[in-house]
Amino acid sequence: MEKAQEVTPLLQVTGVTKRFGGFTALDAVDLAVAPGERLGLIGPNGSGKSTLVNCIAGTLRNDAGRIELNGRDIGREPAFRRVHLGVSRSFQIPRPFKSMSVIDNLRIPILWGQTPNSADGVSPWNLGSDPGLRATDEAMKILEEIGLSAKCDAMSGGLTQVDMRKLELARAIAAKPALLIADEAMAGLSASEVDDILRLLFGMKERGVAVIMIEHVMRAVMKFSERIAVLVAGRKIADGDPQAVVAQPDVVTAYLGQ
Amino acid sequence: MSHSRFALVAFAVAGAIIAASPLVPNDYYFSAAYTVLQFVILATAWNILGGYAGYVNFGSAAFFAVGAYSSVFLYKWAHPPLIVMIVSGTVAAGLLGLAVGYLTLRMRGVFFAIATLALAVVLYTFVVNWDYVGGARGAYILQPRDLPFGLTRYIHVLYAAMVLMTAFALVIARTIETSAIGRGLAAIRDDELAAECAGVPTLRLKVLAASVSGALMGMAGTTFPYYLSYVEPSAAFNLSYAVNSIAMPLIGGMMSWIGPLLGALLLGTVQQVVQVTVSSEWNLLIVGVLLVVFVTLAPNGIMGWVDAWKRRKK
Repeated sequence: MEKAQEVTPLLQVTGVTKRFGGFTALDAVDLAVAPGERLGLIGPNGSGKSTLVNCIAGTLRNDAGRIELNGRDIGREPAFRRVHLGVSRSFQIPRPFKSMSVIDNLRIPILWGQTPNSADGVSPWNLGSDPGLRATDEAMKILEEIGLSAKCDAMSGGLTQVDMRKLELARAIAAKPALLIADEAMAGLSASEVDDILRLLFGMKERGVAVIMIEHVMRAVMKFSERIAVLVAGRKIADGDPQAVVAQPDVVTAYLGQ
Repeated sequence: MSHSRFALVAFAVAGAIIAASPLVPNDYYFSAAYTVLQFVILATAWNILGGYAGYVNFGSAAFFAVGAYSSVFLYKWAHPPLIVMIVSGTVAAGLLGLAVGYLTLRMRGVFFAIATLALAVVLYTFVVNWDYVGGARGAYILQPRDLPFGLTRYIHVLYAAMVLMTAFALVIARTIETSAIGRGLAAIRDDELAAECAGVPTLRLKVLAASVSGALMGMAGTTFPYYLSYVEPSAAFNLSYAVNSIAMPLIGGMMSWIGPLLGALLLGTVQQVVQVTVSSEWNLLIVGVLLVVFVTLAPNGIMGWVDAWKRRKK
């Protein structure tokens, strides 16, 4: 935790609260992520992990608290602009653009999601020649890294669950984020596939990309995270060194019961 | 093909079609072709929002009528040349699309569809009670006497205008489709939340699509008063515009600009033939039957069927 506060944080979440009717899904949550840091976010089902992701990504509006990216308050920005500012997320349940091929799925964030905009600095609002072709090299590079290049022309709606999860992650990476939020990218994957994804996520460090990994696969979280934060019932109960956090009695209780 | 080359080809074809007019033996054919092309524009325009972005607009007749009544208003007020009426009606319908889009496109799917349906009813009531443009009685519009380019009948002028407007609409639709904007709209159609999270400014793109779509629908209606010489609200707001502009893209295929063109040519021609040989009463029935057939047998329209066939051949 101290480590994150030495440098100016990339993401600073302060006192974020989210209520659904009478139910408080997030209760004054604080969280900081340093540039290039690898953070594991864990907690039992329904603890508010995905709600926190939605508040950071802008698909939900937090009722109270501040969300800052590089010191700038992004709490009222629409989701698409947060992508431009550098926050990119994958979805827990894959949401591919079904009518498009795998590579066309990646062309969307390459054209629309990057800062300053699009593959070669041409605005996506420009009506010039077909922009999709310009994004090809970049899309193929990401597909190769994630192991989907052989299926680049396959329709994304027909992919297996495993490939859909890879595509989900590839699409989030294609937006060239400064902060990547991987929401349960490894659920249901085999051990070797988990290692593939882990290798890819470890590689994000070289690009200076911070990663928040939300995961139930503890082996992956422990291996990956430089720091772990634990959410239980909408509150953050632990935040710090992975080994120390999972040894904490209240964390053990939350996961395993009394 | 680049956008500019496609535009060149489209207008060259339009020019050739107009130049071939003297070969047409009977004035009826101009009138029939005018009607079919009017539906090509409506279907193409509807597809920009309905096909590309997946937002179903039931209010096509309202946009068409705004184009038509904008011309009626200008005719009563200042008698401007036809081109001024076309441009004004297009802009007016585009502004309506912008306003409606901004107000309603925050709503998802079915709510947007209901809002467009309500729009048609509201505008109809408004026009019925607006005396200056004829109200419920309707308005008589006299076709100009002096014709340009040595033409002999005004229907020839309207036909030529309609051919050019059709080319224009197709160029716009294809340009949008093959740009980053078209890809963004397709992402919205597939999964709006995922599109927003991939950086697509979904609301702006939808409002843009609604404006362009509305403008082109209005454009199709601008020459309508001169075509009929008499405009009444129930003609300009006719149900057949709303039904056909949905049915034609559905039958032709909604993924590309060719689909609405094919669907409108096919369905529009069938309706014209039936109107002459049997009765226009049958038109909506034919649309209904064809819709049922296509939705069950070729849910992605003619173009979807062609694509599937090509893939199988590979």
